[in-house]
Amino acid sequence: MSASPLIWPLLVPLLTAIGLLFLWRRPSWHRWVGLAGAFGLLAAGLFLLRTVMTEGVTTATIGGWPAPYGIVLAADRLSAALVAVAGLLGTAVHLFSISGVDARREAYGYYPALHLMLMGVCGAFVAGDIFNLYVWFEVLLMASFMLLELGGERIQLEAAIKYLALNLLASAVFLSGVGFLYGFAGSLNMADLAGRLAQRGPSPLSNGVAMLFLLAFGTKAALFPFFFWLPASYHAPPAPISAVFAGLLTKVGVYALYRTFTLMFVADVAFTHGWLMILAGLTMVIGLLGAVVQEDLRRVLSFNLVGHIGFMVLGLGLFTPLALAGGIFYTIHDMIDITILFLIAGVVHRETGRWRMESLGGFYDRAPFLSLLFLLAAFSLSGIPPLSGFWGKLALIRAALAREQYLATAAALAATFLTLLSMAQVWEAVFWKDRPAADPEPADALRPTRWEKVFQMTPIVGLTLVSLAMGLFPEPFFRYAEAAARGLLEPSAYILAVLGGTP
Amino acid sequence: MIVPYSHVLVLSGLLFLMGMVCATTRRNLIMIVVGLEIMLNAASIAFIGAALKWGTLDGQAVAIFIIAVAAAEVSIGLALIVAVYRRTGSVDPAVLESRSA
Repeated sequence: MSASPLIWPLLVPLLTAIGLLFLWRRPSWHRWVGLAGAFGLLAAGLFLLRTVMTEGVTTATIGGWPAPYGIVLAADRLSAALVAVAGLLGTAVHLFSISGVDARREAYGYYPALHLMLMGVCGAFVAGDIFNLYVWFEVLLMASFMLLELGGERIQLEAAIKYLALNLLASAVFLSGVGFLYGFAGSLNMADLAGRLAQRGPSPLSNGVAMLFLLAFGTKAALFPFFFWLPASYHAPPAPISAVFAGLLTKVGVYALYRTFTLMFVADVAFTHGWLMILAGLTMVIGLLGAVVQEDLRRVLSFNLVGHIGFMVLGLGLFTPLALAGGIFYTIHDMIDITILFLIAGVVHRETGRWRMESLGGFYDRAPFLSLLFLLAAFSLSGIPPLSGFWGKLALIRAALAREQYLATAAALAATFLTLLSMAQVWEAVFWKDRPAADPEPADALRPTRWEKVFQMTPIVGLTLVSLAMGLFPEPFFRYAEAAARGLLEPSAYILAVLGGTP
Repeated sequence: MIVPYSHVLVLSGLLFLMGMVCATTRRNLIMIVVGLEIMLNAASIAFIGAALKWGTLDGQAVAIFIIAVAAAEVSIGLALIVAVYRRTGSVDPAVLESRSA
């Protein structure tokens, strides 16, 4: 087996995790070995991105067996970009964890679990086989269960139970969908399935299976009406864990929707993608209405996360080249942006020991630079030009108008205003207003040392620079997203690459 | 194939529904995990039936894989339940509900 660039994003985190488990008795080494592994993953992701940009769809068959018999990994432009962003976020969160995760969690295997989760995420992005996608989902879920529970506080147990039960329910639905698909189409390879489903044409059976997939991936991506597990669990673990969950995990669900609903379930677009659009519109409006009424800082951000999933799925629901490009651009933007916001919330909590917005305040006085970074991320999330969120939203709204979907356009615009309102509330409560005088500083509030401050701020500044680059120079990013969207709408290159030239 | 594929699918569908009802209606964490396991087994049966229908081994390999993944899930789920029981002395998911969100 030749070492394909597709192997490294899986092998690097796996080997890092195994190495960390061998160093179990030396938890103080974990952060540095793990950091090297995280940078390795980032390099592997960028290498894959470069290969895909120069050579097109890249595939690898494990063991060298030809598809559809062997397990196939395949990366087109969408997969490669997401793997690279996963490496970026993994590195950023790892840096932040060095000061943001306590020694006890470190000693009980925080870093190995983080790397196993990154491996699951990257595996899901490059899986070329639908059952393999399920297995990668389980890999990342099991590592995320561990990250969520680590520490065993009461609030974490409560969150973990909801998260575990609902995600496993979604997995069982997904698996049954795969079972039925295999039963009537006779293959598990996604490219092979695409050809077989296209031959059969639209049928109630394939629409039924599509709805099972929509239910399963909708739950994992936190679409309305399946999103309730997310705000009920993401506020529980320490800040870096919330941040990496927010940035990566729901996006794996979004990616799975993009992959299956552009490759396999395209026979009856009016039905399947019509449903996607309705759910996307409701997710945007209801998620952000939820954000406006919350009082806990992290719950506000969680509801914002849910609402913005709607924008990504709207791009898929509209199903035009511009809409898909906008959706892909928006996904990349949102992964980076929401991670920045969760990390900043982590800094705020660390210095005050508080999450409720009424007992926070005065951060503009205390940390003007951090406030500026928050403002940039918040404006970008709301879609203020020229920041990165604006370009994605612009493309999506133009695409919705071109398809004459005025309700979807209205929902997107309403969601934009609600985001701005919600971000303004956070700004007012956390940064602008004075600290409540009657509230003494709690004992667990820590003034970070200088080194801890470096590890806190480096990832936030680094991600903000990437986000700014996407906003100020959107051209290359958007061209890339357009090429990725073309690849999704014309999957013949993908199918040909996976099946090795046999039509 | 002696047993028609449709019979296998009916069995799988019934098991899936039974598991779903068990997982969503019971107020006992252990029964929720049991329900989820039944749903996974229903999916395995659908795979094995399909493997027999197509005369390939993919479906059976998948079923063995599902067993392995399900075992890992159960170990995590039960560990969580043990942690909850130690802390609260109950396996009712409602006891963890925090009053102040």
